[in-house]
Parts: sequence; C-alpha cells; structure tokens
Amino acid sequence: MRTRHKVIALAAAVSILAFGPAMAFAQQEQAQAATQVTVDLSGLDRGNHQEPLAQTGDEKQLLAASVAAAGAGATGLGLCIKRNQQ
Amino acid sequence: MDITRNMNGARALVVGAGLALALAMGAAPTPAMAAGRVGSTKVMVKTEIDNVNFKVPTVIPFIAKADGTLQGPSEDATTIDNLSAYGIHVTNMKIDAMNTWTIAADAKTGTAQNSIDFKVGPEGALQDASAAMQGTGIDLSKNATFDMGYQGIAGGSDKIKLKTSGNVARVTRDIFHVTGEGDQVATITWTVEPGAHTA
Repeated sequence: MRTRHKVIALAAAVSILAFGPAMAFAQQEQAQAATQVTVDLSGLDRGNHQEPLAQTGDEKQLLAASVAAAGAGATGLGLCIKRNQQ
Repeated sequence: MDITRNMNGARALVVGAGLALALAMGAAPTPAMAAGRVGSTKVMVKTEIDNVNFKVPTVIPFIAKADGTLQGPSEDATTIDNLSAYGIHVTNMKIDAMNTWTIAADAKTGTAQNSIDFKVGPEGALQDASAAMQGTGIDLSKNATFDMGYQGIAGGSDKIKLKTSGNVARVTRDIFHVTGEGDQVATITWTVEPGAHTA
C-alpha cells in the first residue's frame, strides 16, 4: 500500500512539473480577455447603453482553472497507475 | 676606462629618466585624470506581459429585427480600453460559436438553422466572425487600426471603438424568452501585447 501511495504521489508531482512550466509560459506570452456575443428580440434601444467591461485581471481565473485541470489530470494518472498495479 | 662602470651609469641614467617621467606624469594633473576613472551604468526599462492592463466589453448584445438584421450597441458603448502607461495592440481575435449557433460568412445563404453572420472591429476595419473562427483566429498584429496609445493620451486613441453589424437566418432557438443579455451565440477572445503593430 505504501508503495502505491508513493507511486501516486510521484505521478502527481511529475504531472505538476510537466504542466506547470507550460502554463507559466502561456501566461507570459499573451494577455487575453473575452467578450460574449448575444442575440435576442429585446425592444429596448441599447444604443446608448454602456456595456460593462471585463478587465485583464480576470485571467487569474483561467490560471486557477488550468491548475485545477492539471491537478485532475495528475489524479487521473495516479488512479490509472494504481489500477494497473492491482 | 672602466666600461662596466660606464654601462651601469648609463643604465642608471635611463632608469632615472624613466622615474622622472613617471613622476612628472603623475604630478601633472590632466583634466581626465582629475575626474577619476570612469564607469558607466545603463538604465533600462521593460514590461512583462502580466503588467498589461486593458478592458474589453463583457458582452456585445445584438437585437434581431424581423428581417434578420442585427442591431448592435453603439460604438461608444463597446470599446477596448488601454489602462497601461504604454501603448498596446490587439494581435489576435478568435471567435468560438456557442450553443447551437452556426457562424457563417453569410447567414442568409445556405441551409443551416440558427445561422448568424456578424462583423466587429474599429471603423473601416470590421473583422468577419466566420474568418475569426478558422484556425487560431485572425492575426491583427500588422493592423494599425488595432493600436491603442497610452492611457489618457490626447485625442482618445487609448481606446478602440468597436462597430458591429450582422444578420441571423432560419432561427429555431427561442431568442425571445431568454433572460439577461440574450442567447449567447459566440465568445470573442482578444489577445493583446504591449507596443504598436509590427510593420
């Protein structure tokens, strides 16, 4: 059992090391922000409606999501190794 | 005549003359020597991509008229604003279709249901959404109309005013009973870098 735990922990560490630099590189290479495009039949005249603005600081959420995805991937890899050992 | 003694005298004379010359050079303060030895330090400045700060519209809400023509918000309401102390530039615009919408070059042609075409961009440089869906999006790195000056620059060039236009056709989705800003048809991802467009 201890060996399996070590293997899972090792797999998680390897995955984080593998994913980590790639994410950091992506963060350094570009600044991004997103805009939704919607359509409806609203009769409201939006001609002078000031749309709220998304600020680039929101990209931290993307980083958090990427880290979460990497963690999930690492867990999956660990479980796969564990299953193969059984 | 003691030649050896004379040679030693000559050597002493040469050494003495050299010492005198060295002392003279040391004692005579030239302006450069008075200032001391010179070293230099470069002062540099650069920025990191994480320091770029800008705003984009969270939503571009189109209203569909009976004939399918889309009415977008005014260009004053949909702007990309530079919040940095240096100029920035939109280098890429990528569009992804959402829900079951089909983004076409011309919505009115073809047979696909829930078809939409739209353009967005600054005056005179509107970008076709269907082109922005291809591959990695539209490369705007060489397009001067997507340049923004530093925040607060005179003339208001620290922002891009986005104009919009488009059409929908063969709509089966309920775009009447939708809540909020409407039925989402697409997401536009703007990529920005410091500096102006490349030549």
